[in-house]
Amino acid sequence: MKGDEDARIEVEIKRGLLQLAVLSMSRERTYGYRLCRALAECGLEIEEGTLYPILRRLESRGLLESLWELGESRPRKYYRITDEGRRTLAALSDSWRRIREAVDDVLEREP
Amino acid sequence: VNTKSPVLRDWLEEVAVHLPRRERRDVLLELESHVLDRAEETAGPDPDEATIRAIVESLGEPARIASSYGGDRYLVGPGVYRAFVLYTAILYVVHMMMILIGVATGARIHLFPARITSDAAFPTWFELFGVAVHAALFDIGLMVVIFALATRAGTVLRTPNLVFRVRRSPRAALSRALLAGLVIVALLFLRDLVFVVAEEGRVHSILTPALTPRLPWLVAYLVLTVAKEIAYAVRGETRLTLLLDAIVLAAGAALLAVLAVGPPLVAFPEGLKSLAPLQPRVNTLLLRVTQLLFIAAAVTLAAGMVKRLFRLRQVAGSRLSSS
Repeated sequence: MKGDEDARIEVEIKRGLLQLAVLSMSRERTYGYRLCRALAECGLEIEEGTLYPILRRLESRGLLESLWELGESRPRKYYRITDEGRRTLAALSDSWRRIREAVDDVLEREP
Repeated sequence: VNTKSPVLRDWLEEVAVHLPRRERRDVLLELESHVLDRAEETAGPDPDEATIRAIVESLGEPARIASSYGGDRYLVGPGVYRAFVLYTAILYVVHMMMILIGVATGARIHLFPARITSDAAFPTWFELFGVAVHAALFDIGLMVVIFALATRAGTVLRTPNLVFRVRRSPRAALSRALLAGLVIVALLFLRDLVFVVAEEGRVHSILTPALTPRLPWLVAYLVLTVAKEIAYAVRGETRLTLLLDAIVLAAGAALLAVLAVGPPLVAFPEGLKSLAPLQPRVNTLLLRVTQLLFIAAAVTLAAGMVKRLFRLRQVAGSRLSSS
C-alpha cells in the first residue's frame, strides 16, 4: 500500500510537468507516437492515455496547433507550438526552475 | 475506422462507444495511427495480429483510454447516451399513450407520484399541453437519474442496430435467455395471473382466443431464443452461433410479420363497466398499437439478421486471412 501511495505522489508530481515537457518538445513539429518515444528517451515515460488527452487540452487552450498529414503511409496528426504556447512555455519554465531550486534547497538543508 | 486489422478495429470500436461523438473520429484516427506506428517499429511494415493484440492490450481497457479524454465528465456518458435517448423516447411515448387513453376513457391514471389525467371530465388543450410537458420533464429526469448511475457504474448499453457488432458477454446472453424463459413461463403457466384486468373483484383475461393456435409458434420461437443465447454464453461468437442467431432472428421476424396482419391477440373483454361505451374504440386503438409494435419488432429482428450475416462474413474473412 505504501508503494501505491508513493506511485500516486509521483504521478501527481509528473502531471503538471508533463504539460511543460510536451509543450517544450512541440517546439519542433511532431506527432503523438514520436513525442511518446522522445519523452521516454529523456526518462519521462508517459502512457498514451495520458499523452493524447494532454495534447488535446493544450490544443484546446490554443497553446498547440495541429494538422493532419495525409500524404504519408498513414494519416498522422502533427502538433506544433503556437506563439501563445511559447509565451506559456517561457513562463512555466521560469516557474519550474524556481520551484526546483526551492525544493532542492529544502532537500539539501541539514535537519 | 478503416484499419485492415480485425483486432485493432474491434478495439477501436470498443473505445468509440465510450467517446463523445464530436471527438470520436479524430481520437480514433490518432489512436489507430499510434498503434500502427508502434506495431511497425516492433514487427516491421506488415505487423501480424498477435503484435497488434499485444499493443492494444498494453494500452489498457478501452473504457479507461476513452475516459482519459474526459468521457467521464458527463452526467450521462457517451457509452449509454444513445440508449438513454432511445429508452427515454420509448418511456415518453408509453407515458403519453397512457395519458391519451386516460383522457379518452375518463379514467384517473397515476404514474408514480404524478397524476397524469385531469379532474375535469375532458381537459382543455392547454391542460393537455401542460400534462405533456410535465410528463416530458418527469420522464427525462427519471431517466437521467438511472443513466447517470449507469454511467458511474461504467455501464455500456448498445442500442439495437446502432453498432455494427454482435458480440455480447456471457452474462448478457444468459440474462436474455432468462428473460425469454420467463416470457415462456408467463405465456404457458401464468396467463391467468399476468394477462388480466380486474374490475370489482372479477378477473378478465385480455388475451383473445386467436392466441391459442399461435401459441405453439410463439413458444417455439422463444425456446429457440433461449437456446441460441445459451449457445452464445457457452461458445461465444462463432460461425455456428452467428448462423443459429441469424436463423432464429429470421424466424422471429417472419412470425411477428404474420402476427401483425392477423386477428388481435390482446383485447379488453366485453362487460368491463369502466370501459363500456369506449370499449370498441379502445380495442381498435390497442390493435393498431400492437400491430405497429409487431411490425417494428419484425423490422428490428430482420435488420439484426442482416447484421449477423455481415458479421458472419467478417468472421469468416478474418479466419481466412489469419490462417
